[in-house]
Amino acid sequence: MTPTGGGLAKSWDRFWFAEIPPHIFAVLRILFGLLGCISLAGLFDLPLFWTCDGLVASRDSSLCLVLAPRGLGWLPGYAVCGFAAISFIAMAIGFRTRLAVICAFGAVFLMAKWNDLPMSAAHQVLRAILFCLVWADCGRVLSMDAWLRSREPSNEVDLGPLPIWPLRLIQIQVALIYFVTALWKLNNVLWRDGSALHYVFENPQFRRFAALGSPGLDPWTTLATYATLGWELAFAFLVLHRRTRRWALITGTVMHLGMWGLLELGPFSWLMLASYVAFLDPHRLRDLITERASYSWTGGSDPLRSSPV
Amino acid sequence: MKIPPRRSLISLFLVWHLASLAVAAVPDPSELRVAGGTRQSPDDALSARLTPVLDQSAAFLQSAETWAWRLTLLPRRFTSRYVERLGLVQNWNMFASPPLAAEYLRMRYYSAGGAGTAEGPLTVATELVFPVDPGGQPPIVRAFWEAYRDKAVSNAVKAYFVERMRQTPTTLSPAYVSAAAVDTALARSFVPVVQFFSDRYVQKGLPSGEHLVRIEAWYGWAPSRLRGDPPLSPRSREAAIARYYKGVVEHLPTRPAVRPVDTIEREADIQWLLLFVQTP
Repeated sequence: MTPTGGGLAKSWDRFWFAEIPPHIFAVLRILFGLLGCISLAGLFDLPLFWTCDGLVASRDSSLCLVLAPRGLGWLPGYAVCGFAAISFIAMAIGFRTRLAVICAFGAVFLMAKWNDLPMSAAHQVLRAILFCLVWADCGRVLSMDAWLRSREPSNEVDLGPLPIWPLRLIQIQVALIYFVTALWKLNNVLWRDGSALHYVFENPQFRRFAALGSPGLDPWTTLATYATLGWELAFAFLVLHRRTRRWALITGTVMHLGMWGLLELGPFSWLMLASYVAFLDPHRLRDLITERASYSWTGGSDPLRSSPV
Repeated sequence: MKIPPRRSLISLFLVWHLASLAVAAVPDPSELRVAGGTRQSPDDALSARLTPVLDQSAAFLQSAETWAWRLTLLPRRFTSRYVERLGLVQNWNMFASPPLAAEYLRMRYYSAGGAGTAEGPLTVATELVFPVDPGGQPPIVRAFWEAYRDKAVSNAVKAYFVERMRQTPTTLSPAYVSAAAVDTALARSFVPVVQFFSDRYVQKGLPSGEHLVRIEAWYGWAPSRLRGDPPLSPRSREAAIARYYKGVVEHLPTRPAVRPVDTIEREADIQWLLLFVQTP
């Protein structure tokens, strides 16, 4: 195809507006709804994180200054927490889905507004992915909405395809996360001399096992530092191509499971793993879901095998 | 090819959104310089080979980044508000500057009876508030929970140092740090942490009939072992820290209570830096 205006427009149209089965959005919605609940569970010490006299950034906000003396210092925080919990649960089960996803995005925003002190990169990832999901009809399948619609005799369940562009936004966002973090790391001398993970494992705040700080592991931490840096630098490029995407995702899964096993990073590893669903082939994922009984890993329905990127 | 108006609108949004994210992903060169770090450990066999190559790449990256920053100054004026309002900032710098030390935060409370002041007879109590766990291996679920409180304190300490770095050297004096200006700058980060722990102490630990006359926040720093070095075996550090985990440590003041910000105390191999003073 020559790069004429029409050709470019067609390529643009195909890249952003190709139609895909709705199942992939449903799976992403369920996973991120559940992970929203898990993130919230970490903050479930209500007096600590959600009351005006807790470990809360809004302690001296005008809202707290007005409500706390009246014994209502719990009200704004509990309202935000309750709103977030309801939104994430509604999103996960797919009840009033479009509204639930918008509310979940708003809830993440409000949570940070109320108390951004305990927030980490995990919260940032959640917000970035929810922003993309806001634009998709995530409740068309695998949702309570779909189930309720199927019970009404007048309404047929719409399993029709959806435009791919919200999925593309997630893919680009995830690739950007890896690429940007890799450049930040390349900028730091400890990552370049291979000692970065040695210092992370030496730190009792992050490591799960004191043995990770053992001198015998030093050569391995150097290797792990370079492997992490190389993989993060390469991720955005590897997922571009069908052949390399599979290996990028498998390596990423191993890396994130390894990080989770060795370090306490909150729900970050799980959020990144959940975002990998966006790189699966939506058609094969639909087949996997709808024909699960006859699915075979050795058959042609492996969702990692190809994707319309 | 005729494009439906709805698709044209979405396309415009996509171009705007992606351009905004791309601009937001370019960090401020001054932030990159701060995050550059300094070399600590000697090379091992692998790093001796790879470090020079990566250093060259980093030099290229830094010049390219400065160029990209300048190039995006104009669009940044328009995109930054969109990105910040929606919370879509792209500063994915997780572990970009690995911690070089075990970090601690302790609060010291000075209380007096009756109408006593900081110059009169005082009771002094010290409480370690960060990290929650002394460095053992708590079960996964407990570690998950504790990580949130630790993250809150850690973010507050980071905000404190960022604020001090942000000031010009002329205002880096202790006098500035104890001034009301810093309270305002840290009103949503460090100040709430100090208030929370001091309020908790007043409710649960303050001797009856006494009131707080001074609260101090001390940042503790104990260097990590360098790569290739033998174990530090910091028994004395462990003992010092274990003392705090047994509960609030009460003692009579042996030094003048009124010490300026930036005072340093040593305890085993931990250096304690007085960050912040509040007089209720």
